[in-house]
Amino acid sequence: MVTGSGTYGQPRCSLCSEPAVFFYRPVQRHLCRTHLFTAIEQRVADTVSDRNLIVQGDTVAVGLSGGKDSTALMMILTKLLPSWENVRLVAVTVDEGISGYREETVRSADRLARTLGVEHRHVTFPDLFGDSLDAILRGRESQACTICGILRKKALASAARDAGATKLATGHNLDDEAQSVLMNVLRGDLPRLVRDSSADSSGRFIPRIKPLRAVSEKEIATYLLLHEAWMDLPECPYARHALRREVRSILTSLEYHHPGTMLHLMESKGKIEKNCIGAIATGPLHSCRECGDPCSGELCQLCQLKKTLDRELSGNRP
Amino acid sequence: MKLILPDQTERVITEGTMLLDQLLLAEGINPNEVIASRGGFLIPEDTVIGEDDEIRLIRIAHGG
Repeated sequence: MVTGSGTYGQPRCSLCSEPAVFFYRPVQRHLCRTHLFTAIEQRVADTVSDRNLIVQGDTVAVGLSGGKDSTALMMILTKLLPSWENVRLVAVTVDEGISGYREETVRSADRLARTLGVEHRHVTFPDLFGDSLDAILRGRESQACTICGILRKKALASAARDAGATKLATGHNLDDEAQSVLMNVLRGDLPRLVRDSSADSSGRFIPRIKPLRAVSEKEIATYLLLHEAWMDLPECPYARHALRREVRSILTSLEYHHPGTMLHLMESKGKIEKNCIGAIATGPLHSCRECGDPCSGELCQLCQLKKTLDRELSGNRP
Repeated sequence: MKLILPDQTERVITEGTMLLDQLLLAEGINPNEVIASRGGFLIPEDTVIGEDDEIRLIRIAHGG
């Protein structure tokens, strides 16, 4: 994909005279290719700096699925790396075993890590849990996103721990985060709404950070297209999370008609966090009585899932 | 003008000059869910498009 000049009817960049490739609607600003790159990378740098997400001496494990968000995250963090002192990046890829879907994204992740010269580690569900996601889900397809989410979280944490990581970065973008805020409100789940996974865990778990949380899905896709790094990958066959799909559709429509809606939702979450944390019972951190991992109840999510599935997830537990 | 949808189906539009986002909304497409290109060049949704243009759309939102 390329950008041209002098094209009929195409707006000009608000910061220079080049043809605009993107309209940043929250502030009604047109951006050319160069200024779009700068705006996105600077916003990620600001997010990291303002929230103290990466500090000197960190080893950051980047969850690299090979999809568009993690690809952009890996590219941007690699570009910003020289601006941080003594920070190391390691890519970690989880292969859940989703036939006809994950093979292609894993190949894409391999290519990217090689191109960027970043250390790359792989973990698979069969190695960690004894079976592929396809096999684990047989007959339970309607619970796919919940089950996969719990297993992926454990797998990523395991790979990050093996890599000696002090932070685990994921590619969640503004759209994902705004959707989660609205979903938590709709479910009445205030503890989850104010939970801060990037907070200091005193070494009990690796803090998860989301450097793309202020960058929209459309900005990320445009960034990748302009870097010729876009791949029209297949959709996950299990992506049938009804509530998230509905919330995504509602928010995308609201964002178009009322630009800045998603940013405002995130600002609201920030204000709620600041004013209500401590007042909302999030509960102390416990150790899972089965595996010893930190959790909010007696059992961690994986051990609860094992009981629910009533099956042995054998293999090397993370 | 010709509109090439993300699934590669093509629509011929007989309207004259208009803003891209007006065309997308008329086709039931949220401009925030797609990226458009004209002649291989990315264009923002408030670009004026003409009768002879061929607009290709890429869908950006995927689940999973």
